[in-house]
Amino acid sequence: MSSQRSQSTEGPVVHVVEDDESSRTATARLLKTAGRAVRVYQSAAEFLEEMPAGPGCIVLDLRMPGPSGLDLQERLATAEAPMSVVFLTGHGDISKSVRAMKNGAVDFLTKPVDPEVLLEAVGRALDKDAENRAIHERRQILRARYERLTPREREVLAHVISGQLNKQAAFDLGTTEHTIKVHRHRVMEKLEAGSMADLVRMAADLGIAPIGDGDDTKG
Amino acid sequence: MVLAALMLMALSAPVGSVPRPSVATLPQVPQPAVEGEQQAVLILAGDDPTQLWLQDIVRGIQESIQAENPAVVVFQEFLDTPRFERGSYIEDVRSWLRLKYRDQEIELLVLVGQDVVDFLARGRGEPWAGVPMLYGEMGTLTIDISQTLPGISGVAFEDTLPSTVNLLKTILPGTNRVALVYGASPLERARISDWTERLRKIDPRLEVQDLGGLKMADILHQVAHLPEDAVILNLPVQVDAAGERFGPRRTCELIAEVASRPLFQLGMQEFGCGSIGGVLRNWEQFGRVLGQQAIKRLSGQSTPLLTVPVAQYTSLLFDARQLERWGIDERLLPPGSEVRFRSPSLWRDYRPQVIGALAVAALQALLIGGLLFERRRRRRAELESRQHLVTMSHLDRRAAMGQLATSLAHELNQPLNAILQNAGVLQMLLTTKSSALPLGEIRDIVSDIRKDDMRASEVIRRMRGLLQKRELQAQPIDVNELSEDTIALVRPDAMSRDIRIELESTEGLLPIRGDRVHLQQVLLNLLLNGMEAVASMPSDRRSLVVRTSQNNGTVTLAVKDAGVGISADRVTEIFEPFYTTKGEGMGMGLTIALSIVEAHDGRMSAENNADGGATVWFSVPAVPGAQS
Repeated sequence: MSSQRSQSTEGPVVHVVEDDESSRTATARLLKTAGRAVRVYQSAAEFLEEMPAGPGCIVLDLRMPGPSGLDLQERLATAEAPMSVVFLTGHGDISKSVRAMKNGAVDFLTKPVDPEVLLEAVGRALDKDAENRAIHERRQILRARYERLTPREREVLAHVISGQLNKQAAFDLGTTEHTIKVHRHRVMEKLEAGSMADLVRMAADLGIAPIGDGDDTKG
Repeated sequence: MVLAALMLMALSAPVGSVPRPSVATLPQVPQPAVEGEQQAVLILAGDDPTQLWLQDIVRGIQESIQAENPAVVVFQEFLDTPRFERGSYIEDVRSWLRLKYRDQEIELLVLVGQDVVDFLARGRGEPWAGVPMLYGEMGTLTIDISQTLPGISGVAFEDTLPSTVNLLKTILPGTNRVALVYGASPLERARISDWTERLRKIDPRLEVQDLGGLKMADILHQVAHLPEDAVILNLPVQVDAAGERFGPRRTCELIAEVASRPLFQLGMQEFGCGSIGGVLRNWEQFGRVLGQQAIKRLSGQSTPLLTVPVAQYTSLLFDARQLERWGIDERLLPPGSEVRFRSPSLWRDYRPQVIGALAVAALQALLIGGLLFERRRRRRAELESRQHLVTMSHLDRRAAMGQLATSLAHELNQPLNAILQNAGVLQMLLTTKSSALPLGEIRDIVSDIRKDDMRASEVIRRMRGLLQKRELQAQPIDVNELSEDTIALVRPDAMSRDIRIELESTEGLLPIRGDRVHLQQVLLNLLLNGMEAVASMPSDRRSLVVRTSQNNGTVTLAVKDAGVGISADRVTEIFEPFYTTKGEGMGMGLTIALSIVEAHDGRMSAENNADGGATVWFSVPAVPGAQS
């Protein structure tokens, strides 16, 4: 475990949560042989206790004593950047697989799983994780930039991204068109947006809702 | 006149049945003799006084006379000619009698047999010439005494010979020959002389084999070798050709012992010595009739020749032992026959008791028969029901296994998955270009594969046992082991439904004897029901406890759940067929389980727990003396 733990700091780690010892050992063995860093957990509870961070994915047995795989997945989903999950199950329970997929599972594999299929699924999960992680990082940066905006600038941003003309925004905000232009410029500078389209995407990433009757999103 | 009528009445009554007391009640016959002087009667017989028949006759005469008139003096004289007649013997006797009775007046002479009549006739009545005489003889006299003994009167007893011949033809229909046995003395010869003729007269086809006048040894030899159609008629030998004298019954006993054919006789005196019996002369009765006639004569009445029919002085007597010996059917005997000397017979002596006992025995037999029949029917029904139980329990197991199918698939898929992953690893290792194979790891992998394969087979074994349709078998079973095995079957299912199953086993349980699969099925049912009961409960109550225990030679297995329990009105209902709370299944599970437990002489019951939920348990007798 300690060696695995050290590996986890390096690159992505595959977390195998499986109550069945044989399957756990064999799966871990397979992943390691395929060059993956692996950590194993006997139960969902054990995983939650450790709550490992960092890049990686989870190979999760659906059916376990105590909290089930689905329970664990739901708990993880509340995190900022949940790890991708590859579900393994002894039988294909459709309702459960639907639930798992809705919660963002990458794959739902039925035991016995073809080793290649498992490796591919793990690969996809790690890619997804990397992607999620990148999105998350970018959102973090944007949020930091957004923090720098003054309240007035945030108001202007919300109006601008809705596609309002400067004149309309000035009217709404009770100021001049010129003042709006100055604010917009500052906003773009602070958020390091290169274009109006860039700004709109960033705002979307930040989850800022546009204000005003913006049928025309293009300003 | 009146008295005479009374006398006639007494005489005309059937002689054989005249009881002496009735005679005694008759009015005394007036004594014509001089007052104070006693009347004297002399009974005179020619034969041997030791012969029983003669003694019977004399006793009969004397008793009947003295019954009428006790004052009458009776004298007896016997010539004993068969044993003594030689030379002038008979005339010497006459002289002796004259001397002896010189001073004794005799009022009446009663003569027994033609031979003494003849004796007196030859002496013209001497030494009692002129004295009234009365004789008794079988049939009429064959000598003429009208000149020599005028005034003599007699009693002729009808001959029994024709009746005897009739009888033996009836009871032994094949009879064509009669062997006559009698003595060699002149008196005996004289008595029998005309019998051959008489027998022929009765039945001309009858052949007579005369064994008279032989030595006893020759007689015995003859009677031992008689042809099949013969019978023996024994007129007892008093003196044989060798001069040997034979006491009463002796001849009869000797002959009966060696006889090859049935032995008949004419007189009653020897009845029981070995003859069949027949129309037997009752000599005492013979004497009594004679005595009564003598009384008449004494009282001065005239007594013309009286003929006494056979029935009045004979008895139809038979010896049961002889009838049996010669295979004579009693039903052939003439009506009125009396059979004596029966071997003690329960039937005859205790008929009501015997009938009662037989009735009881018959009833018992009937009852036993009925019970046996019922038992057979029950056996058959039991077999049938057992057959049904086998079928039903099989269906039930299949249904249970159906419920468990998904979790069992999971149970199988675990090892299969591990094997597949391990195989994948091996494949990867073998396809890498790396020169050094991690042999240690490969060894581990192969060992794991084997282990998982065994695990999969174990799952299949558990399942297969339950899916087989099989007869109930009896084998020793460790209930703890059975519980573990069964819980293992449902464990995956329980796990997927987040239900905990705990086994609280008592160590050192005695083994029970029964069918493993069927008992496992019972527990399986209880577990599935228990899981159903707790499935919708909050997580902390989704648990089952399986407990094994032992008490008083029975092993109990209880499944306790923490569900809502069984409503009071349904505690008994749950074992009824088709009772179900589930949407699926027939509701036969507990019924079948109960049947299985009962087939193991066990009991099964359900009760609600004090702390919620229900406990269903069953107990089965342990195998005594065995230690698990």
